[in-house]
Amino acid sequence: MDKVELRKKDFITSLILIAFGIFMLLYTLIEIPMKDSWGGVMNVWFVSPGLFPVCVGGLIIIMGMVLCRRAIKDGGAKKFFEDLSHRQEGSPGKTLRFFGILLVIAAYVYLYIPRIDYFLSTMLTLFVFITLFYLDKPGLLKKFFTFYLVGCLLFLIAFLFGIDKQLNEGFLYSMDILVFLFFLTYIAYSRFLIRGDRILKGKWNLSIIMSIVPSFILIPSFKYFLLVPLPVEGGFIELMNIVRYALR
Amino acid sequence: MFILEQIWDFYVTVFTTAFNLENALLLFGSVILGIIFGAMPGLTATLGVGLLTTLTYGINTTTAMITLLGMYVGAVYGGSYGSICVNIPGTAAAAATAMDGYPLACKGEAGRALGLTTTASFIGTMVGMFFLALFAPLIAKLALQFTSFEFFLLAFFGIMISGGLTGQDLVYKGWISGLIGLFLALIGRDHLQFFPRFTFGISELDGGLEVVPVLIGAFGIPQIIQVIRDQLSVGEAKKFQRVVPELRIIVRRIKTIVRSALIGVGIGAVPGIGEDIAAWVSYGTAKKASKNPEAFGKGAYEGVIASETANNACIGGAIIPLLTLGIPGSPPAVMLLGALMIHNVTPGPMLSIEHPHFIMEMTAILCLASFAMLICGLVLAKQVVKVLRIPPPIFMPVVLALCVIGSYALGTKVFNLYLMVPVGILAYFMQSMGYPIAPLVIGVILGPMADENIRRALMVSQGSFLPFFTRPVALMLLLIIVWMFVSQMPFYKRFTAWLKGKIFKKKITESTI
Repeated sequence: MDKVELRKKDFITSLILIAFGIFMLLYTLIEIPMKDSWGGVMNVWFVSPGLFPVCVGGLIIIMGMVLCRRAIKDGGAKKFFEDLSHRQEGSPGKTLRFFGILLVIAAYVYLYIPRIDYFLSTMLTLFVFITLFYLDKPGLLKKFFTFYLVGCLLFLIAFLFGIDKQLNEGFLYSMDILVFLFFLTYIAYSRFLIRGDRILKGKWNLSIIMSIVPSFILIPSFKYFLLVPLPVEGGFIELMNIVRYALR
Repeated sequence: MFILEQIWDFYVTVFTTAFNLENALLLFGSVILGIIFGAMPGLTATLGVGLLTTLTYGINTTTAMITLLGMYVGAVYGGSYGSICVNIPGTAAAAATAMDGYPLACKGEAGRALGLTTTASFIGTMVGMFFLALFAPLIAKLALQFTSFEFFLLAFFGIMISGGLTGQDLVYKGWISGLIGLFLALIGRDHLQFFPRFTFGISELDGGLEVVPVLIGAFGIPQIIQVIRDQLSVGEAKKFQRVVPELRIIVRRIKTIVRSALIGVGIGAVPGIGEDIAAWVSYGTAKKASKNPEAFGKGAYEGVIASETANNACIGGAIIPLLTLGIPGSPPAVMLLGALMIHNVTPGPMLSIEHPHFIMEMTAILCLASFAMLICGLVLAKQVVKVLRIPPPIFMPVVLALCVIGSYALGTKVFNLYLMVPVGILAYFMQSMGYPIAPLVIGVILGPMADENIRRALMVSQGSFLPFFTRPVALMLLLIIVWMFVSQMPFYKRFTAWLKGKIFKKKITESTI
């Protein structure tokens, strides 16, 4: 990153730091007792739980100011105000890649793991993550990204409006089945998009393997060997349990 | 008597581990895993130790340490494979190795270069182990004299020095990173009065942030984003027949080895400074000291030996402050600290009293890990190089799955995952703006130590700051901290420039007279 660009970011960061430091100080002074009694203990300033936060907040403000001064001196502030009037576009390819990664991680952690069978969530995430970035043909990333985003948004709406609970009341694994159907649709869609390309077909096959095999190794290892109860044990893990206890 | 006891502990651990099939298998397995982790660009020793930590919480402490130290030693060494064979360092610690390792491979000497790095890494680890055995018990005894004043300053010193030395752009960016870490450490109920701080009514935050998810998030998520976003691709690996340990070349460069090992141990012992800095400092020093500095960068054996000896010697050095003061010397040592906490071992001055054999056990494990690394390095090099062919978009998603299940498994709390992701994204943005991550995690780890000790210290002195000036160690630490801080301030720089100008002017006037 070029120095002026970095200083521009430093300028913004310094303002955030100063604001954050002020917030820390205010929060500490308002919310944390510096001299009052807490839980029957009469405080003095030097044993107060607010002492260290005040020090840290103060230091953050000082550091923010030092950084701000440096950013202004090196032309970061000037660049920031210039860029406000002339908006510059970043590299679209890298930005899409970045948002692609964020989408996969956020959907996995915040959307699927708390609500959907852990095995299915992991398998779906692995397949989407691998296909998004391993099948590197121009235009493909955007199509996969849009498809997955739409799917995630639909599930998000379902979760927000409690549709998942209503469906699961009818049949326990309804949402697992719906997500599994989405997974199958994604597989079919990705296969359709790469038709006629031999190299991509090979990569697609590998993506399937790499989404299934690690899930099959990782999840039973944690569940049956380390005895870790998984976040949501839905249809797939129930099936694993049946197979395991049938084999024992 | 004390020394004899320590030596006895050392040999007992060496023999019980070596002759216990389960431990021996785990040691070799973790070393091989470590080499693979280190060799793969994008995967680091820190991440390896962190992910393995989550698998060890169910086993006993000694066995856990065998696997974690095996991974640590293997991963630091394994970084050289990528450097030599494809000119992409597997870990930051091996970046200096690529300077001469790859030119050697281009000359058809990849096998010899790997032989040299294997031998140099082995010697480096052994020297680090020797210093750990020698100094850790002494420092631990000395640290028993420390009071809350010293501990507060020591924690602060750790954050300051780690921030100061790891900041790539501006020194105070490292400190800012450390301060953010300290803020994260403040979240939750304070340990003295149980008052909730920065919890905003979220009950899950009452217990504070769990260290391991924060560590995995801070190191794992940025790594995943960076490797995938920047489309890191690996070239065709240079071919070699076998790994040749050239003792003749090693013996001739014994001076470089000794110097590099000492640099590695010294830098490792400084809180938060990792193997990468040790390797670069050692490489630079070797170049300066060489009679033939122009050969560096074109395939000089000294270059490869210097960086690899130093980065492995750093391991022993980094464990010294970790065990004796509770302050990790390097990012992977931060992960080790997390692992020790999980196993109810609290590193610090009380360690030698609570677990009298522990330091020697760790020394013995380090010794065994270095032997395992030597054997695996010589025997399996050709096979390990094959993992370099795996494209990052294939293994990074698997790393994500490991990060997620690892963070979740420790407390079986989904909330840990909710925490890991924002910490990871914050770390990614900070990293991309030149803020080092090591001070942030050191801040998270040392925050409670600093918070509790400053309040305890002031409680003892009834609010007086005088003991900071009357206690010799405290005063020394305070002066260093103040100097570190002031030396980065603009007014100090202006003052030193003015002073230098004055002296220079005076000298010129005197010489003209």
